[in-house]
Amino acid sequence: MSKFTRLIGLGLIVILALGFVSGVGAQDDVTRLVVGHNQGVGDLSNLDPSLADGVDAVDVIDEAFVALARMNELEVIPEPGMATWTVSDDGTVYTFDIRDDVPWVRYNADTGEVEQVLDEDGNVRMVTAADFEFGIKRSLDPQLAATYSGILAPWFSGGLEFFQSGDADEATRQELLDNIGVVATGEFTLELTTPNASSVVPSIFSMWGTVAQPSWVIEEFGDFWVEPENINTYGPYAVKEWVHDESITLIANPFWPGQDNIPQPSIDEIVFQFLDPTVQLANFEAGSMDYIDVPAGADVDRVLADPNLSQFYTTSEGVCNYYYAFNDTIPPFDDPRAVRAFSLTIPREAIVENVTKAGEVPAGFFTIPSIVAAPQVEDFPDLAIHTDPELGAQIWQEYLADTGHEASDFNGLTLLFNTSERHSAIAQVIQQAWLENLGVEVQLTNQDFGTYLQVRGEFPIYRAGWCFDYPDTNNFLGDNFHSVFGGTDIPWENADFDALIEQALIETDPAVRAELYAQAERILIWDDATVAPIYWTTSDSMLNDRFVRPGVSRIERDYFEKWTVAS
Amino acid sequence: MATTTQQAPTNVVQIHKAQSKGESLWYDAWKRLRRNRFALIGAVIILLNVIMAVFAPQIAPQDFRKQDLLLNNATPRWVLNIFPSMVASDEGGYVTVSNKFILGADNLGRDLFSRIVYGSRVSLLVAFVGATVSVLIGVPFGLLSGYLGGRVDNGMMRFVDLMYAFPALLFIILLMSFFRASFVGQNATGITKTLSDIDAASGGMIFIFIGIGLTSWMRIARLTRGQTLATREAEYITAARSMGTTTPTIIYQHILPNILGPIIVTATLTIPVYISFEAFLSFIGLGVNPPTPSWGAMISEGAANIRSFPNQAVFPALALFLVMFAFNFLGDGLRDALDPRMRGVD
Amino acid sequence: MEGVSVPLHNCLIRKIDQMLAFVLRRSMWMLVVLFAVSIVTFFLLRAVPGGPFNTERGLPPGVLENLEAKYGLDDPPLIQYVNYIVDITIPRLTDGSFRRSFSEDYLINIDLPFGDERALRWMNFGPSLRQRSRTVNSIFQDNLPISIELGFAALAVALAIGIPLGVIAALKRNSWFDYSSMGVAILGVSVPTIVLAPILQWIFGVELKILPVSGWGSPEQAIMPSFALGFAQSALIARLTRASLLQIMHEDYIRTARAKGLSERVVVAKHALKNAMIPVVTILGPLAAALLTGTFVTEVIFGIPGMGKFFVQSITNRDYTVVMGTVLMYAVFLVLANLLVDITYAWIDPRIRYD
Repeated sequence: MSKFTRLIGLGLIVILALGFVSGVGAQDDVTRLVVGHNQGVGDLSNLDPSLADGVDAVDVIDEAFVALARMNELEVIPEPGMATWTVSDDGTVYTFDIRDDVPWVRYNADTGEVEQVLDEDGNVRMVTAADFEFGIKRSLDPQLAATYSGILAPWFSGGLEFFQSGDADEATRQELLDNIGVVATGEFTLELTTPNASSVVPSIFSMWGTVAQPSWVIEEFGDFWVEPENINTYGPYAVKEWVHDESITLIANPFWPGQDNIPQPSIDEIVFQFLDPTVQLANFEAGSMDYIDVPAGADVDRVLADPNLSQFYTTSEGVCNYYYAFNDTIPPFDDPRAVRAFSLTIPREAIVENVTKAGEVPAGFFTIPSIVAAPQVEDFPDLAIHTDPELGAQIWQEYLADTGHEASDFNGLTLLFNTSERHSAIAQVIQQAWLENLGVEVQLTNQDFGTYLQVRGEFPIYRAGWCFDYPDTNNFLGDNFHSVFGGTDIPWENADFDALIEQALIETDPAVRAELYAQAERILIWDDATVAPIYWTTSDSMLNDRFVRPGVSRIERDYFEKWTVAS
Repeated sequence: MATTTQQAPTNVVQIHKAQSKGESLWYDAWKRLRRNRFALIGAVIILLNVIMAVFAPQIAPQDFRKQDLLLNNATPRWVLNIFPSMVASDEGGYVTVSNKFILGADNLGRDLFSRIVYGSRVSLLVAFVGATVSVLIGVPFGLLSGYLGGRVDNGMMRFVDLMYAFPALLFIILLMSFFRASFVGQNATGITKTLSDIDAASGGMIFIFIGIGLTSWMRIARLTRGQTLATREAEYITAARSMGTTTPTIIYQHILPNILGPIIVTATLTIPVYISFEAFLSFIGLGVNPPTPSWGAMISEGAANIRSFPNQAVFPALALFLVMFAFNFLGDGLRDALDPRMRGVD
Repeated sequence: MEGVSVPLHNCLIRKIDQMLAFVLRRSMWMLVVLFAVSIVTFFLLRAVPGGPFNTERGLPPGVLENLEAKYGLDDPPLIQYVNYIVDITIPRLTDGSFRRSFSEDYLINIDLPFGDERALRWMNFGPSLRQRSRTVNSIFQDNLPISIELGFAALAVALAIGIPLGVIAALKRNSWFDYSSMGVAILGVSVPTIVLAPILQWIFGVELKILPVSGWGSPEQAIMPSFALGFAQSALIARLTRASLLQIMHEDYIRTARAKGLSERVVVAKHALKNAMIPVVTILGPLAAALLTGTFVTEVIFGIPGMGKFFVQSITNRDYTVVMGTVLMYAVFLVLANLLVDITYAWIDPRIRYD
């Protein structure tokens, strides 16, 4: 052994020893909830309410900003948020009475305290109707080019016109801006006009794109305004620290006055860490994370069998569907019978029981059952799709006989999914089922997410999923498949379908709406057969029993100000 | 002038000597290699692997793609005994015990052992294609550069620098996006279509090969050049040149045989790098298309559940380890046997 | 004495002159390489399907055009390229009214002593197209130092494991020690980080609870990732040390030292090891570059906010500016590492000329 070796050995021992020492110390009396749930690997996608389009970001934004309405996470109905409101008789004008006691705040890194924001004259800046007007209009601005502008714009009078005026000159732009149905009529009174008198409207006013925004910060710092050293917020938590690509830390805002459904927070700090679910689980078991996503598949079995871990596990109805889309311009899918055969032979029960394992539900419809006016399989059993391999094979044989094809003619049809173990496992099960029942050997290919989104519309079959933005069936059927305002890559149109969607949007009786949507579903999944619903997701998570939540959220996001520390 | 003509005959003799010495050199090397037990074990492991890959259908007890979903993650009793963290379901644990599978089943109830057997095909192909491509491109490149010397050499070596700096991973990802996406709708034409078809037929391996080919030859090229430079000035080469031997003949007959040793060693020792590159590509989702098994893909799938089912990652990793171990020891043995600088060390 | 030292002195000066010329020439070449890499990357990126603004929901009509206009992506590719290169290479003089913005964020900012609040600003790599509050420069500033820390920690681990193993293997050649040392080294290179890292987390993080499972910042957080990353490279060092030491042990001066009756220990430690390290030193450059660029898997598993993931994720996201910035930065590292090797070789081995 050389001296050199010994030196290095010694060095390693010292490092290890240091590790022990510093690991033992560092205890403070701040209650800290470490969250991995909804985050995943990679930085928070955005903190700007106008630009956010992922649940990871919205989970944080919900704490830092509060919209006019707030979606109740347990009952999935909009409640008063920053305001209470009245509606005009024709249902188009909403008048909001905004709380007048909520100040803008920021975290001061030097003092370690959250402090109120002062204006030029040294007065505390309160959140006003003008801040909401600014925020909403900013979200609709074509120059900001936010991905969610399109979802918000149709719900505000003049919103679509403004949103589509990307190439207008400054004068026109100003005129369109003034014409939007968002007007601060008093310091704390806001009037919103909507062209659609629909029951959906209050849900829209609870979306993150409609929160108040600090115009003075945005003007000063531009795109950097959301960085922790710049940002001003007003919700129950303020932004303390954002270590890009690692974590973001929120700190309780002592100036949040609190109300029944948005109380003053009792947990001091929330740390969101950006980690792979497998690593989250390891951290949870090591005691260094409190609230996590559960890795898909095999680990669920272990967690459920473990008497200790299983008590922290909960699973509940999710907010997304999982489906395969078929391209009706590529044979054999230009004939609905072929799609029906492929759809009927997907082993939905086997997939949810043996592959995904988190209690997912085999999907009978495209729309998840938990939202407003969603058709339920038990109410319309004949309209829903069921797995039936015999029937599928029979329809497929009819199709082959009529067209004179051999099943093997279709070997090599490509199924596209975005790279992920889960999608791959599901695709391999379905590949096997189609081979056994229909004699067709499809080929599987995966692409990274960017390419997948760009090219999926050209593939014969691709996997996809949809999660609700607002809890109404229109968000599933209308926003996806309506020939004018729908937005998927499926080159499919059907006038009857459009008519049903439009009728359902203005209908007020939920039962009638559900029936209209059920008929629309039938066209989508059977008559014209362009998608095959596979399952409805669940939301499963693990929560350390040091913390107590009011219930399991049904909207995927959580309101941590309602959580408490177990006594 | 007189001296030159006088020297020529002696050099001719030297060439003959060199050649006969060359033959005995290879023989010596073989003798040395045979004495190296670990190198031999390596060679045997590689041979067994080749046999496994070729006769996979005969060796594998089950169809590698046959799913038995009800037996997903099923594990035989003996595996539970080596991994104490795995608890059988009849003892309050989570593992379905089934002795139907020798090493256990994967998440879709497919036989792990059969998949490892078939997976050896991908790993070995990657190894051999990688080594072959790197030698086929790197050696001629290095020979030319080293032999021609001067500006040509300088230019060619700067090109190698450029290729070193080139982001190969980026190139592979982009290639895969491009070709796999343009397979779409069967309307691709020409080379795009051909490449896509090859990709599909090879289970998605062609771009792994291209990627390895692009990144692997520079090292061999540099080595070959260095060796050529050193050999070029040797007396027997000067003699051959003065006797009017053509350049290709000199390169092929006189230089190449003398520098082959280090090239073979380096090529062998780099093979593990290719194999682990395949594993890395699988980790980022750019490996072979499912359900084609590859060790890299199996390891990266298994690693996701390594806490619950360590066998699903450990067994393919063990197979990978054995093969890389074999190539490393064979390579080391070859170096000891072939590398002229090491001669006389015993 | 005078007569001897002057030519030696001249010789040294000539060598340094040669080397300077060599470094200069190669640096010029480096610019050419960077230029070539930037062109190929830029146009390849735009040739493949996918763009930075794809989302699962699909963009409503008009939004895509607005986004592309905002980032200048609606210009012809050639113009975009020229703009990009100009932004990076041409320094700018700014006055006190300059404010760092999304489209103007410079890596190098030098306050000039003359004029009022003037500053020289250079190298604007542009905004990230995906993360709309970050610029490529801010990514460099936040994440690159972490990758460098991780890379050097891993290098230390690789040396700490590799050199002793190599020395033992060489000294006890063809013995049980030799084979098991090499076995350990090969184990390092053949167990993929994908497997090694979770096993480390499991044992030290979950079962023994002596090391944090993930994260970066404290020394104990650095132990597992740098081991996972460095262990693989230790095999290379071990093999090189072994080969090099074996060769040296048969050199004449070692025989002389032995003949003088020095103990084997002194011979190895004082004479052989020092010279045997030369080839090891020459590969440190490329090794450091490899460790720096090969951190993706380690970063993902240990949740380390380094640069490695940008290389893969920004390609996946088609974040054009981030891909370009990362690729160029790595290219600089790789070219520098190779240059360093060439210089070291020539410096150590007088037979090699700088040409």
